[in-house]
Amino acid sequence: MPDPHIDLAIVVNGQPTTVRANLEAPLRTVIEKALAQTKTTGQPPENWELNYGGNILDLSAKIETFGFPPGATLFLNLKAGIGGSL
Amino acid sequence: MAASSQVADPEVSRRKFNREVATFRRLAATYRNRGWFLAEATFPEVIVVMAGRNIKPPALITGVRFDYTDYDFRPPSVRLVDPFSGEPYAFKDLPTRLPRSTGLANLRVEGLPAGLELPKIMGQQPLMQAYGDGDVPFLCLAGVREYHDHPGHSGDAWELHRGSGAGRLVRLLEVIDKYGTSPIGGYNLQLEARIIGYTQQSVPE
Repeated sequence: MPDPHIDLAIVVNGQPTTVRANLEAPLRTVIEKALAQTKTTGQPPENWELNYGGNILDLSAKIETFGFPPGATLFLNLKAGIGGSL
Repeated sequence: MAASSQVADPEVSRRKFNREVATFRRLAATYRNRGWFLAEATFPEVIVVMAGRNIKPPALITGVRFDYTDYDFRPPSVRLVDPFSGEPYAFKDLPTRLPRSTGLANLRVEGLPAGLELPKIMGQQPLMQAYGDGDVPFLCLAGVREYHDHPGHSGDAWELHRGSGAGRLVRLLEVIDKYGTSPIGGYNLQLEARIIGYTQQSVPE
């Protein structure tokens, strides 16, 4: 039986970390782990977005649906939030 | 441009500045693939040049100057600058205003009868803000010094964002990349036709 887990390299605001994730779980599950591992606090998981290959990923989709190759690097970034007005 | 005067312990700011630069350099090859080039890094300033890699030929879209004076007692200052001279752009000269979609909104036309169904339009708002075309604009975003120093944002203190890394170098570059350089997909061309003479249909004997 194949291992249902994958190790994802996630760069949190520039700081890399590796998260072990269940392929059957939605992608959003990796966010809390990545934030905890990099000791990034202050903003809830919904205020973050994951970028892979220049695309913002759907956090509700199962991890296996993305078909991440070994060594894939995802970028976890704080959303812009409010702003853009004086 | 003169750096602001330092009031926090300079060694603390310098150490945190060095961490930001080291964090970038650790993945410098990845960022180069995305069109980000670290051009200068001398405390308290960092200049990163960002290229548009989705266009052919690729172009240097903008430089970004970060000033980490007093970091992280205060957030960094962020300016879009000419990548060659390092001078900040005036608002009218910005290569991108970092437009952000505000979603579909109803088109409003004064004087039309109430209840008339009008098409919706896609609204957008620039993250780069200024009061006048000749002013140096600032990045209107939490995590940026100019945003938190602005009296209109006194209710959104830097301390609320510091722990999340809102002022970190790579995070701010990600925002500029997302709204500024990544969406650029081609060149806008303006062709000017000039009459330089007549075409001759025939040459009579």
